[in-house]
Amino acid sequence: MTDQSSPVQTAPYQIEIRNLHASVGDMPILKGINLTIPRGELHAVMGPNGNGKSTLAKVIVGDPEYTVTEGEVLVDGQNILEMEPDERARLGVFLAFQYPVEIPGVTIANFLRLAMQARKAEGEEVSFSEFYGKLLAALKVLEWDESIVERYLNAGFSGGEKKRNEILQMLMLEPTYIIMDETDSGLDVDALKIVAKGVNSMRGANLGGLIITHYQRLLDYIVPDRVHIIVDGKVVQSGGPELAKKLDSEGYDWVKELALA
Amino acid sequence: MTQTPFTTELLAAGGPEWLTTKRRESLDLFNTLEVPHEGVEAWKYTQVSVDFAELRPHGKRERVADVASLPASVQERLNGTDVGAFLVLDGPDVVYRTELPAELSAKGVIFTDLKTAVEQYPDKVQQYLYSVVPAEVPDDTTIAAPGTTPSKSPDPSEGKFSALAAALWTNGAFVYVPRGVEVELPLGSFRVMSEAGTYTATRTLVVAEANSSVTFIDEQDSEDLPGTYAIGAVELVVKDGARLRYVSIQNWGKGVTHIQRQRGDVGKDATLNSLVVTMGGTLSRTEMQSYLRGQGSDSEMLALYFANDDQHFDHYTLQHHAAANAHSDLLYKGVGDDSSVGVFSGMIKVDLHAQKTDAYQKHRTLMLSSDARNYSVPQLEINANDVRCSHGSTTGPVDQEQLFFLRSRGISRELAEKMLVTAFLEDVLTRVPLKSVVAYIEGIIAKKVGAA
Repeated sequence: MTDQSSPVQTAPYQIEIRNLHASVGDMPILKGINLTIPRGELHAVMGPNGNGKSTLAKVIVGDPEYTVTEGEVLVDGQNILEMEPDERARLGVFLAFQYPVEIPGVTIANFLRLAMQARKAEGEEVSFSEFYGKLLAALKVLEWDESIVERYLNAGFSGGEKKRNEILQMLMLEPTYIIMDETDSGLDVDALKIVAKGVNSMRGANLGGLIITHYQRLLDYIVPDRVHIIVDGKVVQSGGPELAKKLDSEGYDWVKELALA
Repeated sequence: MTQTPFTTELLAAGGPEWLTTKRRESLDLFNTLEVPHEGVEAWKYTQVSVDFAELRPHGKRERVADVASLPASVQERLNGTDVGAFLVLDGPDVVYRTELPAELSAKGVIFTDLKTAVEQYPDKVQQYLYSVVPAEVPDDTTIAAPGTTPSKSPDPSEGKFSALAAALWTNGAFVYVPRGVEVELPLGSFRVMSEAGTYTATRTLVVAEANSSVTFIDEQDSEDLPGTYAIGAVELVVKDGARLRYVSIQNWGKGVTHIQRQRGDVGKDATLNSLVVTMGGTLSRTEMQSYLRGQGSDSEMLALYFANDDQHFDHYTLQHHAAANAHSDLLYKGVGDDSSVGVFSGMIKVDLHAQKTDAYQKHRTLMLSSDARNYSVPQLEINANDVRCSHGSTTGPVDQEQLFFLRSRGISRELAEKMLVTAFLEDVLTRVPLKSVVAYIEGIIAKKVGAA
């Protein structure tokens, strides 16, 4: 992979979603999604509930609940759809879950260390200073006390704490492509600002991704480069940040018309 | 005419007359009983095949003067322990021991081996020995309202192995804590075996007088020993207002058949906390029984186990509420892998006058292999009308959502499964305030999960 002559290296640094179809059981949800998100850009994906936004997120990271029936997802030129979920993650794809699971018995510290270790080459260890240095920096951004990492993963956490914990993982694992699935749902303004601060601290030429949301609110704090609207499993409209504002003021009725057109 | 088995050992056991009589009666009882067969409810899923005529006792080992002369595995274990005093038994007898801190002896605390205790504290031993775990199966028939159908009595064959243990025990730990004395550091016995194809019978007696408190750790560990039997009895006397914590960690090597009855008699406002850990052996039957004799008594019963390969683990539990306002809370968690078999039979019994009983029982199993089997048999016998009793049992594979979450962070499926198995078991340990023991158990879990 580090071979400079490899064709992978010459591929564009981007996520490219080509004609993606996916279903749950027999029910088709995604019906031909086409999107290109260059590294360095964050794109918002908006749309009415139940039209495929979260499905898109989960299909990209390989949730076994969904079946891809057609299409490709290329990450820096590699089709990831045949890869295991953990391989995709090690490639640099990260999903901030809408509903992060609780895992009593696994401390956040141990979990983060093992997740970082999984990215290392055989025989290479995550050093204490690397781990601890990163951790302190991340906790500072998230305005969180160090003691949090001794707690079990999300066990008994409030909705806001779980979302903050997703951003902690994101800061520690330093993905190249993030997908934020309704991270703003259930957050109060203060928590929303902290989450946005975490994401913005990573923004730059080495970070691309999708911000999936139903509301404009989060996009006031994380301003997207582009906005796409998904209705009935397809992208029906794309535009600049002003598109999100239009949805906010005019609602979703007019985009539903687009889907019928 | 051939001699009945164990006659030689019985004669060799010695001791005062009341004890030799007791031993002889126990062996007589043993000879009249059958090994429990599958028609016996409490043994339905566990059959022990053993030819008693072929069994020979584990050889006696010399006492050693220092830790350095003990087997390496024992030394390693002793390095990491924080117990206040301990006994080491290799096979039938003590091979090493440490003394109680002088300050505890001065308060009247006794910690010695049972054989020595019979000589030095005959009254105390005679008063309590066999009082909680007699030769025969304890009669836990519930007391029901007149005219109603009484509960099923235990089958006499459930006393087969306890009769053997009563007749042939060679040694074990004896703990006595006087009224009001609190022993802070745990006391412990480390039992090892080192001779394949033999049997060992041991007995432990812990007496916590009124308002005293003590923790006793009972560990069993060995190399693989084909065709070896460990028969045990543990008697826990918890007087009014006393608090006793008992931890049993069974980590025998492969080939060992472990059969142990552990029972507590819990007085008024007294508390018995138990933790049963089963990891080793090939066939293991561990009974934990809390007889809640006194009003307001309390028992927490925890267990964790991990069966793999061809291991067969049977856990029988009893929460017998014989008095009002008592509370019991049971949580058993187990993992089954490969072609292992797990059996849990949990009985809650509530006597007629045990009103305001609060009894809770939960058994959870994680199945890692489609060849592994699990039998969970919760049972309730309730004769009082103002009680709260609940029981639940769940069995399933690793949680797929949790697994996916871990994998989505780059962790391989194999490691993620290990993390979830470990987390599933260690969850029980959050309720055990014994740092060093918990660390030891975590080590055993890690080893076993890693090997699975």
